[in-house]
Amino acid sequence: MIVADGLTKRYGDVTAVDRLDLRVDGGTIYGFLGPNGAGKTTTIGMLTTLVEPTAGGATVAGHATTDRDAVKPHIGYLPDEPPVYDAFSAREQLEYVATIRGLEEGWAAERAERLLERVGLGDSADRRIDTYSQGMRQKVGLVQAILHDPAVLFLDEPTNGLDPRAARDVVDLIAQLTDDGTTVFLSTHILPVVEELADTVGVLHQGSLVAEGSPAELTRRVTDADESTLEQVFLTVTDDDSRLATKTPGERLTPGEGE
Amino acid sequence: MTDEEPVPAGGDTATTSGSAQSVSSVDTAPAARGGPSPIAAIRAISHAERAQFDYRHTSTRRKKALVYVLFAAMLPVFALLLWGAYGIGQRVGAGEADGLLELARWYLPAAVAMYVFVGATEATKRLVGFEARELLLTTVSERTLVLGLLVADFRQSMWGFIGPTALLVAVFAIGAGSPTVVVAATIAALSLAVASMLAGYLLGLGARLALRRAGLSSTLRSLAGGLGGVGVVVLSAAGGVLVGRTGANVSFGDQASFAAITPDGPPPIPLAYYADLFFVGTPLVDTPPLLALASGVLVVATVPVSLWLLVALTPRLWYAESPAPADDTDATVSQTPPTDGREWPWLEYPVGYVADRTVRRSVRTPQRLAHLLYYAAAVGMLVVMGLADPALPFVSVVGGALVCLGIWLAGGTVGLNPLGDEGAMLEQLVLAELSPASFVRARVLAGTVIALPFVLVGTALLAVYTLSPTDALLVGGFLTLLTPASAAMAVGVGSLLPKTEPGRVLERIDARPPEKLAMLAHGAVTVVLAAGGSTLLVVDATPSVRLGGLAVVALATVVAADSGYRFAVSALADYGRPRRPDPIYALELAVGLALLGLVLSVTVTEGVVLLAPVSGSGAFLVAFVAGFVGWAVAGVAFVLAAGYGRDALDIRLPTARDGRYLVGGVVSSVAVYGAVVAAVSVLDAPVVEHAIVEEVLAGGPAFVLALFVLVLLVNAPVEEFLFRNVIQNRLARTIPTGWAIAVTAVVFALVHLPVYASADPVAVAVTLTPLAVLAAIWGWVYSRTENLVVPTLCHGVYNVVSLGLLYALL
Repeated sequence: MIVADGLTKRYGDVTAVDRLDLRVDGGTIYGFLGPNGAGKTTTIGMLTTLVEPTAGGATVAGHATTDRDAVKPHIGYLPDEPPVYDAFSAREQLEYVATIRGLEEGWAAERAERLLERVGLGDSADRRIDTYSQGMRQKVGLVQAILHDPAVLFLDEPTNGLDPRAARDVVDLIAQLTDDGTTVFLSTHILPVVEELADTVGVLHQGSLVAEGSPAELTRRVTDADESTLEQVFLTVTDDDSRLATKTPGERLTPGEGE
Repeated sequence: MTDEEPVPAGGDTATTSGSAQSVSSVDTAPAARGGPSPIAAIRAISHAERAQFDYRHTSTRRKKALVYVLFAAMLPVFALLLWGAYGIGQRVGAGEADGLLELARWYLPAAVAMYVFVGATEATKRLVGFEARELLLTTVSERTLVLGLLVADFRQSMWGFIGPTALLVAVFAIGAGSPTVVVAATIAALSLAVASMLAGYLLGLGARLALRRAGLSSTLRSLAGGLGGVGVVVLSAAGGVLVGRTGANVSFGDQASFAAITPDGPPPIPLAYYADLFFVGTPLVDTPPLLALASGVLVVATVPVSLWLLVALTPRLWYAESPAPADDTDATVSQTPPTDGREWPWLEYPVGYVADRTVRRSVRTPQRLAHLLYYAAAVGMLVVMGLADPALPFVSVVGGALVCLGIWLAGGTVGLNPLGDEGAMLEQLVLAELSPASFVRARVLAGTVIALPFVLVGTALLAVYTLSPTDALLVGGFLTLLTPASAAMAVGVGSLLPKTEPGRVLERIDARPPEKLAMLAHGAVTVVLAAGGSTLLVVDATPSVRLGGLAVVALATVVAADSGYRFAVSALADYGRPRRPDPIYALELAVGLALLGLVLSVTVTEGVVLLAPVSGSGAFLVAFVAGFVGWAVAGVAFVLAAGYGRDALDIRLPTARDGRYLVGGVVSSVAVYGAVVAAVSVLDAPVVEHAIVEEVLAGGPAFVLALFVLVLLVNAPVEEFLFRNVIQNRLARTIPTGWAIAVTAVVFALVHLPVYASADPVAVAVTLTPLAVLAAIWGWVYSRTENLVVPTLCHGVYNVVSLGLLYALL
């Protein structure tokens, strides 16, 4: 569903993303890991057509990202700051988004209602969003991103600033979405979330993918220890002094079989 | 401040903003305790705040360009003001200003009220809504922080309010001619401006605190605070203007007696005697009276007292208002039940729906509309000025003011900050199914619907006494068309100067009213078009003047409105990627730049002629150069706003190949000239002489020699820069080069219309056609060589040859 081919973004002299190749199959969750400033948000920007690549290209849901009009009906995007109007109530916000997304009114209202209940916002849906906590805002943003039932969902730090219970709600919802066939591109640096959800994990470091594979494969192959965790993997491959990291960029550490 | 200086907590600011160059020190807390001096800390905070502010208001480059243009356009006004001040000073110095002192005393309170109003309006912007909020969590003392913020604000105010005041007063004092008055008046003006602004801050903050204590809802609070300020400024202006009845009667420089327009009796308040300090050392004031000295002491004492109170008062607003307004029950609960859905017919249409929601969001967060107070104050002043003229009926004054307000509101309510207003939602709009144009149209629609009642009621009121029924219909129709045009211009200006660049701001975006510069530019252009168009429709003038003027107004309106609309749509449609070429927009840009150049050449000429103390042939030469400065400003402003950089200027030493084109260009230019002269004499066709001819006839040989130099070194380079390097280049990015050359040539010929103005259209056509041909030759030469030097030399040689022949034949 997502294919990136040599995706590169340079801002002046700074290379934010460097020749990134990616492949995400339909109905799977791709966990996109990386330290702060690794280029995760820039990558999502390019995949969602919002940022123009300096070089390379990508297709999302079968359409080149250069063709924004073709891509946009198929994707949902939740940036790290939930895009909501503070002056609206959650219900008004969702009605607005349904309208500008061109959704059928009755269908959208019914779906919004169901999703609000699902994330536990049913009782607060008529309060103005500027009275919401960070977690509630994040949930409204998530519901809004999946309101039109997109084929591909991009989530940038969806559990940022959430308490454990709210984070659990969000994680469960994401898991349920993939059961319905949605492809999820999940960018985060919160490792347990990835460990639980992701089918494939890619670790981005200084604009390059330095490791990729299923969580189990990564923990098995990257570190020699038997009982290592994803955290150790992360620390190893994003360590500038590590012998593994210095082999890259260009050559990727891919522990998968025959890929 | 240098980067090495210890910056208390500055590192926090840098990390949150990402503007790492603004402040550098990261290990902050120990440094702050150990101790930079308070002064250094204040300076550091001021610097950090300003850097952060600039970072957040990203369109600095475009703003600069717009400021240059506005300055060039306003030059005659500045010139008049400066000369007026100087002239008044001279009269004071010569002892011919009876009554001026009394008049100044009457006006001083009004001036103070203006400053207080500005201070009260701006107070919360920097002192409460400041950018570097992270500093609240550091060891920086509140006193230091408040003072740092004040320094940041005053450094900015020096440009907008305090500096110009001091300059005008200084010029006046220089006119008065005594060193004592220069020093005394300048110091007096600076102290008064600073003290009044500080008092205004205090008033603004105090009112805010008081209103909060009063337990009003946030809507009522905003309304009360805002209208209070407007009321104060309008009342004091009314007091000043009505009592003095001078608004309509004073004209600078004439010898009208001040005594005639000065009200009788003592000034309204004792503080008014402060005015005497502006005249110390002139024949009007020998030694200032006791009341003046006391007022001076009072004003000077206001500064430390206000500072002390501000330091004490400001932090209360920080901590009380920082959390979400949980006490505002009426604001937090949705005012609309969830089922209200689509009961209004316009909600069935996406554009109508988006327009409705845009307005709804604005209304629910009244602090977003705080900038509308400036419109209210401006309209209040207009009413007061109109009332001062006894010849104008009250109803007509109100009508005119309503029209003005309507035209401004059309763009000012929701149009002037279309991108910043969307905040984090902007990217969702980009990814929405609804077309980008729909969102822009929604704002234009909302603005028009809000504004039209004002415009129509205003026109109807004007029809009561001032306009005949036919005129009222004409003017009403014109203004009805201008209303959506004003909204469209606003979305353009607002997209050009977004208040925040969404997508780069990391935190929540709350109330962000539009840039004041955007308000100023939009307000000035729309009011000129409205007044110009309406006047031309009803005025008693020759048909050619009326039609010509109306054509220019119509062209300017259409070009500004449609290009503004297209620019705004493109800002959304091409978000995050290079703008797609739009031939119509490029054409409008070409015409717009030419019109802008024309307007600026006129205003700069007028301004310089007013300013420069020369007469006769010298004045003509100065005006000649000034006109081309105006043309150049238009080009430079565009290059700056578009961000082309220095290499956009195609100037190189000509190569041998360039030389061949140069020879070809010069020969064909002169050949065209010869052919035209021959054809005109053979066919006896009517032509119009260039306006310069009369001057050549009148001036002596030295004058003509200077003219030769100017047409070679000023005229040709400037025109080639604007028309070839800027306009033709910009067109050629979008349409085929041949068309770009042709369009530029036509535009080039048409902007020469004013210097060949004549009643005979055939003669005008015969005169302008060769110009278009010449421009096409120069444009072709430029497109082949991509070296501006070549067409400039062609143009210059042509100018010299034609002027030389003209001189030889006379």
